[in-house]
Amino acid sequence: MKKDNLKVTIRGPLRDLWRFITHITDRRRVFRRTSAERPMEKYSFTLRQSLHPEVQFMLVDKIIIKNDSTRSYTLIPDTSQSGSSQIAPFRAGQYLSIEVQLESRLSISRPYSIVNSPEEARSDNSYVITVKNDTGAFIPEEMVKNWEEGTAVKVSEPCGQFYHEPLRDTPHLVFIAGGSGVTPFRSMVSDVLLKYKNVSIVLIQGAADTEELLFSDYFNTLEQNNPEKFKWIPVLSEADGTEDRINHTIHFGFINGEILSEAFKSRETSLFICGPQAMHLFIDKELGKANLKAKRIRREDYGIPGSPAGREPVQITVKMAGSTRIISADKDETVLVALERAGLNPPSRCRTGSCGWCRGSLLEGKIRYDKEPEGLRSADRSAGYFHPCAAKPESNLLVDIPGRPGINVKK
Amino acid sequence: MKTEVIVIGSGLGGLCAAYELAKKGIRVLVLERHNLPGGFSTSFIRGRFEFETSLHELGGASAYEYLKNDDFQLEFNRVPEAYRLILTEKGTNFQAPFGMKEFSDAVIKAVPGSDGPVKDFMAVCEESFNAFTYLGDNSPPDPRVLFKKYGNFIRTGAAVTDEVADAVKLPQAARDLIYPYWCYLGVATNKISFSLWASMIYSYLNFGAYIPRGRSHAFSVSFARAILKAGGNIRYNAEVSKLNTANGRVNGVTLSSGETINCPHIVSNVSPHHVFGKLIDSAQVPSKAYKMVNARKPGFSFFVVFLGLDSDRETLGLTDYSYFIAPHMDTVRLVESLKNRHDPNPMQATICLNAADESASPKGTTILSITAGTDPKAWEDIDPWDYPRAKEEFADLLIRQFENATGTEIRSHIEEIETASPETFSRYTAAWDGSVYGYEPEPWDGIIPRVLADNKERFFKGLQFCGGNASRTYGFGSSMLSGKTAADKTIAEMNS
Repeated sequence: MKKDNLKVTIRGPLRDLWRFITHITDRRRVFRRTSAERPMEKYSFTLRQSLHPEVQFMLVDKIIIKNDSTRSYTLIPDTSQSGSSQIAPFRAGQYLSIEVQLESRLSISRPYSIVNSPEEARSDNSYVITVKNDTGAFIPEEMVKNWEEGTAVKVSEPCGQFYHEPLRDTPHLVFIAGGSGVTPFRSMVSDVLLKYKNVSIVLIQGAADTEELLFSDYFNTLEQNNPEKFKWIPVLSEADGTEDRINHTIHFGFINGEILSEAFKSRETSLFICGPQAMHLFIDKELGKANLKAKRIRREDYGIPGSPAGREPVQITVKMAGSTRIISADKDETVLVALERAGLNPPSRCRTGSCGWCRGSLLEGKIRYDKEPEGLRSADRSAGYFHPCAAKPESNLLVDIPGRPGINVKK
Repeated sequence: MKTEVIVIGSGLGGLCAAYELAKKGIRVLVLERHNLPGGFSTSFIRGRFEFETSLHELGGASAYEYLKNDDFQLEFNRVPEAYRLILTEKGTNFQAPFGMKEFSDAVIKAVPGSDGPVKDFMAVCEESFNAFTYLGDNSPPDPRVLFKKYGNFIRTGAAVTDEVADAVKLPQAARDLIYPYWCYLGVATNKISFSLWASMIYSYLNFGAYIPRGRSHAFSVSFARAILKAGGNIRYNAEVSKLNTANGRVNGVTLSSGETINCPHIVSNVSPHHVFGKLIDSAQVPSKAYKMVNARKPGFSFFVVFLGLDSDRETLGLTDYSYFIAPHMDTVRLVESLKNRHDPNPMQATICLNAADESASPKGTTILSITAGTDPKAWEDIDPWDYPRAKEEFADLLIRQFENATGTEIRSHIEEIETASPETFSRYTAAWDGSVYGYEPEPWDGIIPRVLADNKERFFKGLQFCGGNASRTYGFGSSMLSGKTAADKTIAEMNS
């Protein structure tokens, strides 16, 4: 390639040489005529702050008792705590990770789907979450017992990928909800029907009884107002004599192939499923039996199940933010729950292995996943990183867990 | 045990610096605000796809050789060809091979009569690259050798790329085919320092390019592991909110949790904009530092559409690894179009990962990522509640542009889609205004002026910079290797 006789000049050999020498010192001239003001970040920073606040300080504004075990909470910005007076925007179907201080040391967080639609939330400047109190679940118990109007809570930015995506999804959507798994769909049906004119939705809502059939009035009315675009199929496990309260046809039993076929309408379908893990498995089986195949499937799991601690104890040595602690754990609980019980305030968001917010390093010992965590990166897997929210200890462990952002770990 | 050096930020530059320091037995602590190492150098998962966040291809020999180190255990796949160029307004469809000779021959064949100018142009590029190598190996350089062997380098060293193309009478049709790599630097050819541009194009064409197994996240994880193994330490979710100084030297950092860590030496992977504009108490910052920062322009940002497709690439007709698609190759107008996110015909650089790594996604699927440059300013007017719709529109436009240019149909195959905007990059890396590329290397701020001015532009003792804003400029390889330079300088300072 090299040509020995090649001589390229731009402005003449001497002028080029002079230019080469002076271009090195040009910067001093450029600097001299520049302002000495402190630089400010302007463009994407402002938008980023609105979209992805590090934390949202909020107050419980209203509490609505839906039934014996379920409450809806309206959360508004706590302007005394944070700079922002506006809630962060979200996509219908996303969740908030809500942090609750249980005792002086124990602070844990759980994900809750946002129930109101972006339009509703925007105009009210509030989020609504609907929480079912399962026995033994720390956070709902705490909410039912101690939350009142004016209670301060720390809330994450909106998270998750469980939302309708017009560039991916088919115009026909089937939503399947089990129990309180209906919460994201309350937001999604409202949002999608408003924004996308050519979309049709069928919502199959499974519940134990009419009490648990959340938002039934809302869905019923929405269906009457949008008969061409929205169909609501409530499915109750068994009749208990209170069905008259719901002025609508009700299926009894489980969500079976027949109901699914009715929902698919032989059309290309994007399927969204939200509910307990057992329901996901059941629906998969029924789809297979009915020979139905969704073109796209999105799932939202409700946590990794685990038995109460104390049956097969192990020890976890935890390195966190510069200090080391030894804690007790159980083979049937996730590493994350063990860290939380010990009051270590580990970071967490999705609690199903997908978001990676709790990512830590396994230095010694063995863990197992009941279900391989979807979000674990291949290089992480081979280098010994793991997702504590989905991992259960098989032996004594030595782990390195990052502290929660901006929070001092008590030694 | 007292920390001897703190590294702020675990981008590849910071990781490389920490690794070099830890290897020499220096007690180093890396502080990273995110919960992952790597900055831009990472990956993310949607469904059954693991997407590459930012690396298109690792070009040139030096970074590749460095990463072949036994400490890292990385596996690489070679990128099959340089690029497929499609210029929609001109009807150009050109496949550029790797290899200086092969590349030049292909351009000459496509542009009859361009033989002399193309060869001259490529020869000056090669000379510039060799001159940089000479300068890197010989400090201080022998002026006689420089003038005798690298005369063209000296004469073109202060020029911009267009000036050199004019000087060798490179026809426009040939420039169209040679210029597409401009987007890896992000500055128009009438502004970009020629020596830097020349060195970049030669590195790519002469040595080819590689991608790592496990995406560029594998780089970050390998560094993190090697740092810990060598006795260094890394803390995640640890955001530095203050860089403490006294009497013109650094003495530690304060984290957003309130914790203060004292330390006499700091390597900052965080940009000078951030350090002087946010981290150091303004009363301590000399006005010269502000002038230096304000004079430099943070490079542009990107909009990326990540697609997981439900068919294999043969079925989809995705024949190439790297596609450059644009209406034309007038780089001045292309830069202008970055300011408008509604421009119906932007330039896109699109990668089909499976064309270099068949195992990049499950059998019967394909990963395609479409990247367009964008000015962070073009996003400032967006109402935050309309942000999803704005991303959807931009993604829709790029997908359509790709399909039209290549004659493929991918839309009905989209199984997973994710998008990233300047906001996304800003969120995960805290890069200034979402800038992805570092300071724009116009001739006055090219590599040579930066390297020679480096010692004069240090405003605090004990503080070194690395990463895309440091003296080697940006790109994966340069950002990373700047960490080695920063480590060497820190060691020299510790010993003095």
